[in-house]
Amino acid sequence: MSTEDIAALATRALGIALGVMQKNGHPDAEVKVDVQRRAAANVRFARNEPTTSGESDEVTVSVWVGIGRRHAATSVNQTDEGAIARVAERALAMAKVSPEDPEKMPLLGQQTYAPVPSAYDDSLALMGPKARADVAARAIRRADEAKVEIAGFFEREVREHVMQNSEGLIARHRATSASYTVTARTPDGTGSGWAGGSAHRAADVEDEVLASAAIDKAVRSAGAKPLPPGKYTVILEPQAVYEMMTFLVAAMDQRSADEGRSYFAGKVGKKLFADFVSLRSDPADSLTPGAPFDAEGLPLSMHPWISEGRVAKLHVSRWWAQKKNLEPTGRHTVYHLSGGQAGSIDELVRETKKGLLVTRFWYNRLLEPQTVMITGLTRDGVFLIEDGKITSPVANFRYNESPVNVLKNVDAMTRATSRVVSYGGVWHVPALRTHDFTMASASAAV
Amino acid sequence: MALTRRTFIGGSAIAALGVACRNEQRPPVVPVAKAQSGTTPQDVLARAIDAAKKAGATYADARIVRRRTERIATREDHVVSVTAGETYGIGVRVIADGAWGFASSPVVSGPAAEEAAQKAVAIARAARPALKRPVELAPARVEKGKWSTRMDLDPFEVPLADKAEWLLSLWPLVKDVPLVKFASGAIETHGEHKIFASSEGTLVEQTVTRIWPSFSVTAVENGQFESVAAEIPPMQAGWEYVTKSSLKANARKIAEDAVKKLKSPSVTPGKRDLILAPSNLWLTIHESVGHPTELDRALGLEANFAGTSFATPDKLGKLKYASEIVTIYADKTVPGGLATCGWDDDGVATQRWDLIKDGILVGFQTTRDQAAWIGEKASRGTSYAQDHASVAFQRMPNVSLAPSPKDTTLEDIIAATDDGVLITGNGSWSIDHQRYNFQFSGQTFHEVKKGKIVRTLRDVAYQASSLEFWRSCDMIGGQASWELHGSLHDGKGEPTQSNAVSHGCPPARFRNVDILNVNARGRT
Repeated sequence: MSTEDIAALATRALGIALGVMQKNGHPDAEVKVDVQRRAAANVRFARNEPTTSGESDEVTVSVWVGIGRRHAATSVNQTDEGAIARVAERALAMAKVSPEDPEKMPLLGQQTYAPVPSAYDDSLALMGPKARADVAARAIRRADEAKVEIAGFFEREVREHVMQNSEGLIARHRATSASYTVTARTPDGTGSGWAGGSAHRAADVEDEVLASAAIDKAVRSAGAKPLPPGKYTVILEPQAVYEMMTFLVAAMDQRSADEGRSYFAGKVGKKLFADFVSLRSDPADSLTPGAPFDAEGLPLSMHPWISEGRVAKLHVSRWWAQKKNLEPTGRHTVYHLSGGQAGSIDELVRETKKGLLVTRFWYNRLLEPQTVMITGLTRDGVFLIEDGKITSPVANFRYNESPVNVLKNVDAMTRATSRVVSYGGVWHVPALRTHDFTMASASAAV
Repeated sequence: MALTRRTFIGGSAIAALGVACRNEQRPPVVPVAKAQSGTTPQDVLARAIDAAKKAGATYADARIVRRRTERIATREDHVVSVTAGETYGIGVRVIADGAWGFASSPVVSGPAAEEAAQKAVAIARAARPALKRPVELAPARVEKGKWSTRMDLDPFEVPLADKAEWLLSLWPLVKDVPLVKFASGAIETHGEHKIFASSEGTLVEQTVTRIWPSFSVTAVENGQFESVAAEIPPMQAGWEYVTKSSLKANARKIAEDAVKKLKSPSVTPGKRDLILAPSNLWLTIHESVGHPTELDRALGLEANFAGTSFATPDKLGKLKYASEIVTIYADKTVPGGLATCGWDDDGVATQRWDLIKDGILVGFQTTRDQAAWIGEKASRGTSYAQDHASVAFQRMPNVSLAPSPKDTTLEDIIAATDDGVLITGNGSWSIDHQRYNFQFSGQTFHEVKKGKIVRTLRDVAYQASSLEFWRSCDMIGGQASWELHGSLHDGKGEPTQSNAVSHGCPPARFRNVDILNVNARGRT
């Protein structure tokens, strides 16, 4: 199904849904339709051979219905008229029986969206089974040569989204993305290395570079020795930085702050972090291309969250904005952490007297919302730095630390940022060095 | 037996006649979904399998799956969201040239099924050049029949207004408790209707319904807050599970517990004896026994994401996993269990077997393509795919701790404890990628001194290594104290799929465990 087909389907679905409202005596019902296509194809490999590979191409039609302050939403992955009418009928029936929601906002009318750079790449969208299997085969060949075990996952996806509502709003966006992660392990099980990256262009997927990096790390991390728990200077590679920053961003909500349920209560405008730290969302930035609208159709423009170490803004929902006389920010999905001057991770290492280099974190969970305290573990490559050099591999740790402290105690970041493998949205983050990072206990895991 | 179109359709008649209901109950509430284009689902499955074989597959299976979800959420005295979703389609899995291939379609028609089958074969063939060990399936009996959740009232048939009313009736029960400021509630319902056919002749139809009422209360004072959540687990059940639950009767106590927690002293860290209520222990079992005994994980198939396991197959029959009073078993047959069903997504009949027997590692969770890896002749029946568009792979069955043969109660365990902490409910949890080091919190924490609960605590977490922890287990409750808890959302695989799984356990005691204080207030 092409983007034009998706747009036509959205128009048709809205028409069907409005017809259902009319027929059921609710001609004034608010109706919002989201048509989303996700075509995904993947290859998985492990123990130096392909395991499972698959392909799916699904279109989801979601119908949201509002009657007064009552509302409900339903979705279905079928696109025939009967299925869409049924889903609209169900949404209406659900909305009618839903109690009134005092926080319901009216649908947005027609909006003007700023242009955003294309994040769609035809050659990625068309990447077939053989080209995908070749990604696995190249990694496996390198691992066989290096005599290590390798496992990985490559997925390419096409996402198309058209939103239309009864108030005249129409929003469209499409993007391709490829994400590749690879883990190498030494046969004796004492070394493990990981690398990963994502891109929206096929040409930007450097799968062999990533596979080699994972293999190199696995070999270098073999035979890691434990160090005592305690506070360490750490250099966090971009994936590790991302893992922590998602918790920070989740906590940056104006309502939770105003209700006294967040670390950020009373912190807007305050300088909390190192003065070179900036965090912003900008779907028009070619580094972090995103949709120019959020799930409600609200236009998304550049928003600084942290500027030169100061908390510039928190996310404000439309409901909270109305209640507190603020501007809603929209719910962003792209983030860019920047402000560093270091030329490379190597440069950060050279300038470190004693510290740890951390590849990534694992199983990160919020421990305590008032300080954004997180627990989790290091994984797939921790190295000791002494007098500006990596001297030995170090066994994994469990950490208990807050991203607030990470950005407070940071003294250097790389100028260049990388697009990490994210659980949603697009994140570009640097590697950084921070101090007094709490490694709470040793982990025997490799 | 090879499947031809004719035998296949013959097979489907068995389902239509309703014989061979594995769980001896009424037929599925959800009628057999009508395929598009007027053909029966069984016809479409047969065409998928025929097309796969014609394209060169040596094995094929196809699943038509309808998955429904519904969630209603409330906050204090109002509904905050009502959502529902449905997916429907066919997934075709093949072995061609010794490799797996999978493709799916949201269109359930003969032509769409054939196209998916051909795509799956092309995907399998593309994997062939890098393949070293062709896939081998353990033999499985040809299965025919139907299975469905035991329930009185299908929650999808219950008007949403009734569900909202039930949830909103909780706030008046708690709002007068001083310091209580917020309450969140939700009812989440999942339905799966699945027809599976394989090229070996298996044809089974299953309907699974799962429901979870949840409720949590937050108390606030001087900028500090604490929440306590109800300890009602999700269950494979009907609406009657919600209305008969203890949630309403306990709502006020939950609120009072939140206030009590807020006013509690922070725990003093150190090694103490740990008493875990079933509402906490189930998740520890899930993370430190359930995941480590997944065979694919133990062999490195999940190394890139979920990780590997300290429990490797060479330790089978030798590893002292736990103290000798500990027996932990896998079970996809326990009534109400979230992972309970008649057949797995390889079409293998479900069963119960031991993972840890008298403290020793004795078993793994397997699928048909894995059984031979540990020298077993048949699969344990743990294959699962979350929907039609996802490929089936090894997923956790219900994994449970056997009760003590003695009739030990939680009170007995408390009375026998000189210096300990009793934890109920689940808080934050995290475990490393080989399942050694874990750190779990809870909902309520009680200090035990000289055999009695003396006060409540806050900021408690326990951190341990899986083996040390299980080896330190010295008291386990009896059958009367055994409870089934679980999760609707256990993630595994790439792309990540969700699996619902239960864990049964009595309360148990663990000696000399590291109790942490996770209070960082004032530190930043």
